[in-house]
Amino acid sequence: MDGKRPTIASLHGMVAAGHPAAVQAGAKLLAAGGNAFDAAVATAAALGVVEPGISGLAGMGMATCYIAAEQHVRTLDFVPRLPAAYAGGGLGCGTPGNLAGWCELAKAHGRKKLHDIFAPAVALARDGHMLIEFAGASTIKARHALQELPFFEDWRSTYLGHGSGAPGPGHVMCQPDLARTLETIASEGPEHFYRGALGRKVIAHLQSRGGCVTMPDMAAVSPLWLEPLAAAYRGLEVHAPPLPGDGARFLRALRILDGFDLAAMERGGADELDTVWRAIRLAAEAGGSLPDESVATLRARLRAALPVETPQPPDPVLTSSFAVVDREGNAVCITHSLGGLFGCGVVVPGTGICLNNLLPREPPGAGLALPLAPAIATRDGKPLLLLGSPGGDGGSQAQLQVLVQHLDHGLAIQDAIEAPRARLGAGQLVQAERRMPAAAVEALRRRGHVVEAAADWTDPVGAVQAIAIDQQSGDPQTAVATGGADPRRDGYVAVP
Amino acid sequence: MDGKRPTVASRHGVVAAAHPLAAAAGARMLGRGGNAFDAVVAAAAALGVVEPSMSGLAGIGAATCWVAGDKRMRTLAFRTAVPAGFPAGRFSRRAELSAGAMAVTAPGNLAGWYNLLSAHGTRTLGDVLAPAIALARDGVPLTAFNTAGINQAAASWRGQPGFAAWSAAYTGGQDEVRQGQVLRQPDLAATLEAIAAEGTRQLYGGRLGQQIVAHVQSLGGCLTMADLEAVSPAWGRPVSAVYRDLVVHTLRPPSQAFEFLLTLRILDGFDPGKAARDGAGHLDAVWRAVRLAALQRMAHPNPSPEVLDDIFAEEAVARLRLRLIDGQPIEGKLEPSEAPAPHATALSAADRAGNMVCLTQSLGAPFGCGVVVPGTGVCLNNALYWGDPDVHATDALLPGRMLTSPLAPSVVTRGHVPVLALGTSGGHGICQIQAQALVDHVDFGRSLQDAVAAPRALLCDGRRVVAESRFSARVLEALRARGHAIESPAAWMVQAGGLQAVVVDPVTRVITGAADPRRDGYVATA
Repeated sequence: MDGKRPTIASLHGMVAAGHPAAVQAGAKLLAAGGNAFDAAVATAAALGVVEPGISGLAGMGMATCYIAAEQHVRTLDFVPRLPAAYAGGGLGCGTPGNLAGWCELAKAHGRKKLHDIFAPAVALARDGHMLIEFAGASTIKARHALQELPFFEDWRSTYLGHGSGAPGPGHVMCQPDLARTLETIASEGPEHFYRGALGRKVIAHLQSRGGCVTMPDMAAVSPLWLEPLAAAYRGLEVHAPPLPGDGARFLRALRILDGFDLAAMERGGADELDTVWRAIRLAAEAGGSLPDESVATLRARLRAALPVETPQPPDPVLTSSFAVVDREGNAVCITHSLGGLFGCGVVVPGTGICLNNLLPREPPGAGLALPLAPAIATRDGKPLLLLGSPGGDGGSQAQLQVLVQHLDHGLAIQDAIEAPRARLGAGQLVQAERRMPAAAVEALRRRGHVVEAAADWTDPVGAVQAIAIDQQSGDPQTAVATGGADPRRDGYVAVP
Repeated sequence: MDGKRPTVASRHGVVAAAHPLAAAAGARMLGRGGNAFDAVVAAAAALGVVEPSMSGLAGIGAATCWVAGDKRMRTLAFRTAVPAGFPAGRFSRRAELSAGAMAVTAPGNLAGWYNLLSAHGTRTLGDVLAPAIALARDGVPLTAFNTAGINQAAASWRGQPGFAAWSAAYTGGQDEVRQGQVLRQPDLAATLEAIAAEGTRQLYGGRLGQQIVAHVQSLGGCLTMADLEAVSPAWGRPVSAVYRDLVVHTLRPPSQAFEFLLTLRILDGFDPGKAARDGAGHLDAVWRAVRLAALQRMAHPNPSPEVLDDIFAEEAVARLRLRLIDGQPIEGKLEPSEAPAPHATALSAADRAGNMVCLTQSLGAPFGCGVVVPGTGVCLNNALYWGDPDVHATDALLPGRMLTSPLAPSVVTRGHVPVLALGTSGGHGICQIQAQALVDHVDFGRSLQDAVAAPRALLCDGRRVVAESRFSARVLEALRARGHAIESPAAWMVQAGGLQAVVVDPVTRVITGAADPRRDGYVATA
């Protein structure tokens, strides 16, 4: 053995997410007879407790799901419409969508009661959890960033007021208000938030802080089941969310790359990296879903080895991704967000709810567009791979790089995740993890990439949580799922 | 961010075990309101399925546990005696007992699990065996470590009597497996189901016992039903020793775990934490202390209570401390001749009620004696390999003799409150490994996971040291100059143990787990 994490493989389902306590919450549902939808919602709710700066019921997200009973991949959009009164500026707080999304997933395809699904999150909020590496560092960062805000005291008392120890890794965070909120929602249903007393309390507080969301906006929230976008890659069909998600960009890059034999290139060598990086830039430059002839044009441009420049990306949005499969063959991959770290920083007193800041400063012409691209790859209609990554517009870059390592180079999913990655920024800027071979990086500089060496491990290159499924047996009951979790955050895999 | 695993912590309970699916089996008990005893037994039973080379219901083991309700530390030894019909004097070499039915002692693990559960657990045998049954019936995808273990065993046993039954159980009769292949053990699932339904009497007097005894006897072994019925795990008080502000508790002889405590007592006279971590001063002190303690164990393999007191007497320890710093080489035999290659598995758990359990169990060698009882999925131990054919030796293979054992599951208290549990595999290296990890954690303030992963050394006969090559080459050179004959074959050595531990913060009640990356160690939470 070599000091690495053990391979985690199971026939009984599994959860891969950015925090050990959150994956265990999902695994507990699987162990208690819940399916992947129950487990996904339990994981999402627990993430809202243990990484409250990134996740939470007042965020927004999208889910890509393989529904075994229908043998079909569907996307759930729980990014609510812009608030009616939104005119730009302000806190940037949009209408909360996550809770509605969770409840729709559970109602449409789960089998457990909300009370059981929220139980692990409630216990974590009530009894406390210890801040570990990434969550601890985030809390310190947030405390510095938010302390000048007029509502900092609400934030401080919510996240640092009930636990013990100094803020940062080792602090035990208790969130009794959030525990009560989740319990009340479990007994009264999501209407308590979207149409009832809890919602009125949240909205009144938000409005007192200058937010523009109203109860009619809340009542209008209605998650939508959509057909995902799909693209062929190496004989697989890769599914990812349409707008308001960012699946199109991810799939465009895959379609371009499908014309290149990456497996024949040296893994981690200059040719491979140059090809992948250019495909990412070309995919970002193009828009929408591509007709075949455009793909051919883009491949030709890639081969021409001319520089491809990327415009300045939008402000970074922090997201969190996770993946769940069960023994019945269901698969759920979710990416969700609060916007910035702890969203707009407004915490509604007495509720433990932190509000998002996912609205852009300027009202967009079309609706919201968010960097959410949770993906499921299928072969012959059966899911083979689930993967999602945070990282703003770098999230789909991260997914692509992991997919190439896994599919083209045959790396085990954990090794594919741990392989060094790059984040492509504006112009020709590339932040590359220092573990990339120096010779390759030098060669790439000569080809025009402006490569900056980042740390050995750095989370701007995303944090991919993934599950690979071996379908060779042809029976979901005997399919082996293998989990992969990203060490760039506190990624972990749990089994029931 | 450094590519490492995250800290895995919980206020609700933690299990650390040598395989993810076994740790998850334990966590499932905690998640349903079970306690650390339920969790350890569920994980121990699951280990016998998911890591079948290292342990199983027919192996032997030991546990040290803090019982929160009684506020007391207890040990449970579930080793078993040399069978009453063993032909003392027939063998002249240990190696004659490395394989085959004559090497078998009565299974101790199932009785041990049941004793832990019935004394302090909250769940039924059926509840705690359920995860193991599901894993045996539905199958387990083989990890790299599983695959290597099975393929090595297959290569070494091909052609031996009973190999076909072994191969049928673990390779589907192919004599070879590949990583990711699913290992199904339907016979073992049925056996565990029968035990869940009818109790441990299935083995100790019942049908399973008859099958085992008949098969062993058909292969020329001496095990009888009377041996099985005589199995009686022994609860006891621990032997304890002070280290810094801690008290470390583990099993009394015939366990040789006192070597771990003696190492710590010697080191308690020094402050290795003042030296540079992993520097020559630190390692020289720890290695010399380890050698001094191991030599005491060689001199007194099974000390009486009086001799044990003498070994730990202040003056005796003071002499060893002087020896540590006298600059003269410390050398000698640290293992009996022809000692078997160690194979075991260690696990630790703690719960929200304050219970803490550490258990180590083994089949003797990988897949024990290699005999799988047809139709049962049960692989038998070769615990007698650890005995001495010389009828005058301490560990003489005499009928009814309880052999010594290097298993040393340990629990640590501070001010009568349990704070840490740690145990490892590693045969005669167990005490060495645990001492190195504890010093790293306590004296150098390494997090528990970092202490478990930190480079370690195994001290062998003479001046030989086998050290992981992650120690700095410069430091190893300096240690060579101090007389240590060091080899550093690999960055990570499986023989440097598989240590699983949990630590509890007495103020916040947060439990943190640590698992050894040298095997498939994994931590799961409630």
